[in-house]
Amino acid sequence: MPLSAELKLIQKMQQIVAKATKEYDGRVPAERRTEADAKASAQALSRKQGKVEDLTRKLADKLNQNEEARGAGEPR
Amino acid sequence: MIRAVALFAAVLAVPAQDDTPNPFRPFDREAFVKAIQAAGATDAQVQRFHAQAAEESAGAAAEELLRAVFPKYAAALAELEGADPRGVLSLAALIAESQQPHVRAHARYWLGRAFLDVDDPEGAVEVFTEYLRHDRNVSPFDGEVVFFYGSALARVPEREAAAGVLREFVQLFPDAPERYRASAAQLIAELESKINPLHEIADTMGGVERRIRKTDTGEETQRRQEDVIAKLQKIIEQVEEMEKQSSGGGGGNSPNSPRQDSNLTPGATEVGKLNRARDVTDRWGMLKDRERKAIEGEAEAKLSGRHRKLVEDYYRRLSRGAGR
Repeated sequence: MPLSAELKLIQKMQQIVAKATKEYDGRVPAERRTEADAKASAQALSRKQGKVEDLTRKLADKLNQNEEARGAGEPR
Repeated sequence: MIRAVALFAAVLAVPAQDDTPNPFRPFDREAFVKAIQAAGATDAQVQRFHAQAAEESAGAAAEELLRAVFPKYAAALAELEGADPRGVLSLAALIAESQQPHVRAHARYWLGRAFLDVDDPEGAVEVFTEYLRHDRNVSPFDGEVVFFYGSALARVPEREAAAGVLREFVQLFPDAPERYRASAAQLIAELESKINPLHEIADTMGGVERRIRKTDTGEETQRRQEDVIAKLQKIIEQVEEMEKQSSGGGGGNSPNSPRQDSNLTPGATEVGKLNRARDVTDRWGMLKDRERKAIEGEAEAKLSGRHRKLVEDYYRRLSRGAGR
């Protein structure tokens, strides 16, 4: 998959999480956020954000490795 | 004379100017002893304090004397060191109720470190900020608090503020333990170096994840998410341009020639880690539902305001870890 496509996928996932965050913020008033179902929704949402973070970090690591491999292959 | 970075100066409530005097005074051992004697320390305990301060360090000696004289403080620390989930609650309750400034300062120091230990740098920043505002200049832990405050900021991530605070630490505490000074120097170098923009984005996402976990989904969290989306868009445009130029040759070229590692090297930010995070999470997971509820109920009854929220977040984090 081209790098731009991978980045677009991450961006799309981030947009989905951002939309869900906004929706949660509007739907759950501050005084209800200590209730179990509100907490559970936030946990699920934070896990999704964590997944996007993991993918981003893995891609960053992969790019670093490619960069290093290219550097090693260059004549000195 | 020092130049305090703006954020740090605001925390310390001093002007951010080149000629701002050092807001930290050397640890006043005699004043400390006098205060603890007034609280009931015996002559033998004081003698032991002086001997330990000479042989080991003022920090270790002060810590032992406080534990000897204040049973509630000793009990809270025993809980924390024994990976008992109640430890954090006991420390927060002690901060709320204790009139003794040295106990409060040390309790805040350990509470901040406990938050750092369970990957809650935002909670740690709040607690260390309270220490720096209200408790500095009474304990030999001032230097360590500044170090851990800077480390916590680096993990938030607040790169610029973290680098500024750590530079102040190196400058203001030349006698701090070498492991902290060396780690601070390493962290500063990493914070100031060029970073792979994707790593930086991932760091921001990590901060957003923690905010959502605490049900903090307000404007600031949403702004950070939008910022991430905009930064990704810029990188996508750069990469698409590179892909076009290489005739559709595809991926592999990294944007902005990233450096090899993320700025937030665990080795540097985790110096002095309590290493009890897994233990305390396991202990929390092993408790019965009613025992967990009792601790949470106690937090609700004993604490109020920000500390209650921080402690509730701490137990939420333990629940999440235990459920993995």
